[in-house]
Amino acid sequence: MSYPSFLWNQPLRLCAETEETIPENVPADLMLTGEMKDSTLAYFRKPCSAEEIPPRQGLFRLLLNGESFRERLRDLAEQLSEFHRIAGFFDRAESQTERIMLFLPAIGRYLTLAESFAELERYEGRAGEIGAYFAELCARDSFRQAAAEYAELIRNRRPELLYTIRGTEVTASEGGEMTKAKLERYFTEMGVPEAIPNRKASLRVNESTALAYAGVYYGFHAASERFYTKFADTFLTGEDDIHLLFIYMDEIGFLRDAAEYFLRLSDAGYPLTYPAVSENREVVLHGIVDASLAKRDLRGSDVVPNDLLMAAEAHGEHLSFYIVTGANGGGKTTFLRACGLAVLFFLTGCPVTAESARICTFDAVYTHFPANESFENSGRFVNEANRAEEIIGKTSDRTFVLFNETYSGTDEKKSEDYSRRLADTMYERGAFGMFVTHIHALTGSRIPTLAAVIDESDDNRRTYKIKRVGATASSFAADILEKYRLDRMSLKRRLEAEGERHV
Amino acid sequence: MSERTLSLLWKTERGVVTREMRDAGKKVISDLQIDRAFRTICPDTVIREAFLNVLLTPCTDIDEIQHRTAVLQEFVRVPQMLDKLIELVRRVLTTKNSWDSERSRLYSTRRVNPQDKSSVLWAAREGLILNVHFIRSLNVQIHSIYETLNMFGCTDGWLGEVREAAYALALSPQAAYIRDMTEKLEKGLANAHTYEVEFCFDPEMKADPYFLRDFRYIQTYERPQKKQSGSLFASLFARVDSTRADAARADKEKKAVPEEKPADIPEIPKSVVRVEGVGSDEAFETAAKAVQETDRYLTGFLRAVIDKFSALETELYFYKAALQYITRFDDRNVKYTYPEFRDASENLIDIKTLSDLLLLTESMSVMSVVPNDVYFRSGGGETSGILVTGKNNSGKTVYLRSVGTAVLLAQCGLPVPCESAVISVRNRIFTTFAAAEGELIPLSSAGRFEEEVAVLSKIIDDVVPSSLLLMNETFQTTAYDEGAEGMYHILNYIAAMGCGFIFVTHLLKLKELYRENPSVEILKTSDSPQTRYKIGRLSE
Repeated sequence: MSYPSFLWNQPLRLCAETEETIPENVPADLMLTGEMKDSTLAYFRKPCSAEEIPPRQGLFRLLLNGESFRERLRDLAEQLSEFHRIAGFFDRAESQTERIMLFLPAIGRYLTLAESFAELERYEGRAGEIGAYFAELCARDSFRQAAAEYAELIRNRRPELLYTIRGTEVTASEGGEMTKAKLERYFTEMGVPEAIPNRKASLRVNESTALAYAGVYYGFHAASERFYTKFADTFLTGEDDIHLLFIYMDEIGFLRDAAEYFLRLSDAGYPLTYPAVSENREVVLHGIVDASLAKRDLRGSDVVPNDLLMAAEAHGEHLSFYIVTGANGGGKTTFLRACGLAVLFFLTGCPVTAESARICTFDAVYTHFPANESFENSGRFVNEANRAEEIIGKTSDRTFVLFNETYSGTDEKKSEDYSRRLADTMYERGAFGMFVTHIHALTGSRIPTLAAVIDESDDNRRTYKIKRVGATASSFAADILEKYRLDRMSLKRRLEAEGERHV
Repeated sequence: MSERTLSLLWKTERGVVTREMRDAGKKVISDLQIDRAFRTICPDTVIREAFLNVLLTPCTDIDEIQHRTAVLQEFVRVPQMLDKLIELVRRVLTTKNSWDSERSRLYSTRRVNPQDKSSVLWAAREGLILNVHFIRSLNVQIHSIYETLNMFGCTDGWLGEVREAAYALALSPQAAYIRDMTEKLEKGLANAHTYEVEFCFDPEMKADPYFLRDFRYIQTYERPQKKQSGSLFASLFARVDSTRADAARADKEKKAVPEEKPADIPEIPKSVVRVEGVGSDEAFETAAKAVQETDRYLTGFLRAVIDKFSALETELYFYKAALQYITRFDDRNVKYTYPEFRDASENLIDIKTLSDLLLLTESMSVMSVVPNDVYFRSGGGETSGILVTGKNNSGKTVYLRSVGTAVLLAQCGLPVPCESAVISVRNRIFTTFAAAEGELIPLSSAGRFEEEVAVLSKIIDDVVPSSLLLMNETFQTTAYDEGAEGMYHILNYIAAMGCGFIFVTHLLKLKELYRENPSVEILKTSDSPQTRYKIGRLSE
């Protein structure tokens, strides 16, 4: 047996080796950067297996449904941090005496921590499993003996030490009632508690002091040495090595940070659902909204939801990859992001901002969004093309890919050629994903098309709904230009006004 | 022992007095000319300023007022006790100043090489010895404060609390412990050769800061005194300097202990181990840190004791001025009384034969000062305010001033020059005396009216239930009827807010407006030479 992981279906000691298969740019393209800590975002780059997703969803349900489990994790995080600090002192001990002396507080922290983990037993799912493991651990003879002997040692421990300094000769002996404590008591009794100065921080002592303490309280030190000899192997080696608990710090950190993010979304009125893990190759989303819109202080109720049916095979069609086109400012990129975040959250075991969802697992997620960085040795198009090629080289029917206006940085003919090749490759490989493009020539082909819908009867108002369409012909850019007085008539009136001004 | 800060004026820690509150208070004092009256009563500027400073924020707690009155009455009973206390508290402050001065000299003149741990230890000892010297001086002064209060039988009230505090800090067993500790430190630390340093060693191998539990020192004989410089610092270390070389040599040669073993060295306890790997630097450094930490504690104690008593100086000055105020009445055979207080909600002023303080102070004969009665009470069909009308120079403003002065001084714990007084505690007192005689402001009428409106507007913003407004000829810088109409609505608002007001006015239209309204009483100064300056009801 070994400490179980919160996040993975493998022992904790193997979890540090989990690989990041989703590139670094994906969370950034989907506007997750800044929403969570970098250490949390790293987990979004390690997709779960199908078996690992439900237990994680269970943890998030617990976290998002009430204070109790969040408080418990917060407490565990604090205890782990403290334990990490003390264990660090032990690991850096320079002598056997130090090791013996520091073993005691390290084990003390560990024993308390184990009992705290055992309290998770009352929860369902993975939390309950971890709790049960630690409950069993705490019930073992070795653990109970260690706890009992530790308690006895601490009870008999005397902290006071007295140095007698005569010139360069220093001797140590047992301390009695501390004069400082007596003074503090007297100051309070005399009505001047404010005379007590602020406590100065304690400082690590050197080995000679440790030896002196061991010499003065030789009985205690001997007992500590026996304790160390008896339990060092139990707690410092093998599958129950106490150092392995450090890995929980990262796991709990991820759970808490991600939960805070989803709580914020929930408070802002965004729907949250836990997608079913589909055995079929499909991504089915109902009422999906883009979580990144919360950054702009948009409430969930103000965001237009959409639906998506993506499947290797549905109604006799091959619907795994879509062309997405339509009016400028119509919500295409938003839709792209919404679907991308849905898949990314799902693969990390997190809830998804939709009314309901059913998604299959993927090995990787790739995104290709317009890059903002400058290009040192090549132009924008070359850079774009290289990135796109790299992604194309890695895609399969177990990847999810989003292309946003790829190949737009060149002439129309070249753009059309490259775009067509991209779309055909994705379609033929059975890759899942979408390609937002203004190349209308791609539409109306075997590759299904989605479009941002406008209301032509209402001055081409953007509805932000994305629907399946046939061929498309226009992006309705003119009304956008008119709104900003950059349309033809507005530019003419401007010239006339300018002429009059000069007359 | 009471947890509250030692004070003879306040029950609890006085809150922050904002600049706005201070300015408002100054205006009231100035309008009522209390500052002018006290220039005669209390010639000493420092004492007078301390007194007026207290008046800026009068008490609103009846219990607090009564405590102050009790303290004042004690000082009236034994005036010499007040003088003695002032002297002793001043000595505490002198000690503080001396301590600050000597510390500055010490830290500015010494040169410590941080790498030389023995000199670090030496410097730490110097600092501690200086501080304990002042602790011991302070102990004597606090002891004297206790003896003074004890001698005059002050066991109750706030004076009793000061006495208790002095006892705790100078005579209690705890104080005796500190006294013994500081005595030994002052006597022997400079010649210490052995240090006992305590600390707590926690399971994580961290240690609390070292603390000097005890030490042993070389007993020295008294050398002939060299000519001393003026500073305490120099005299203190004259003896120490001469033995410094001896001590340094003894340390260096590891002969820090005298050849004859003094009788007070205890038996070596069991479980004593030599601490290996400790060089001289580390030993000195440990001892120095212990001395420094002990110094930190004792310095904190010294500072806390000084702070506890230093606030009393200005408070005692208040009582000094108050005593002079009462003495003035006694000297001039003026009858005075300590008012009875009622809750603010009663909105009551009931004073019999009230005389004006400024006139009592400045008149050649107090017999020429005409007293008046004041009465109003809100609710139950009784009045919430008074209008005072009458000819110029007939005593209207004096009447207004006398009421304001009486209420303000009463709420500071002082008696009032009258036969009897029952007063509701006022949460705020406001005055608008811009039209008072002798206070002509060279502004145009239009500008002045706007200024009046602005001032009154601010008052209306700040007024709270149970406030008292004293207004002198306000809104007479505009058309009378308009001024009357405007004031009528303002006064009704004030009354509806549960406040009391006295309004001296020539706006006769107000009389008509209020004639049928019993909530406001209309008074008039007498037209008869025989009853000049008497204020009575309009119908009388």
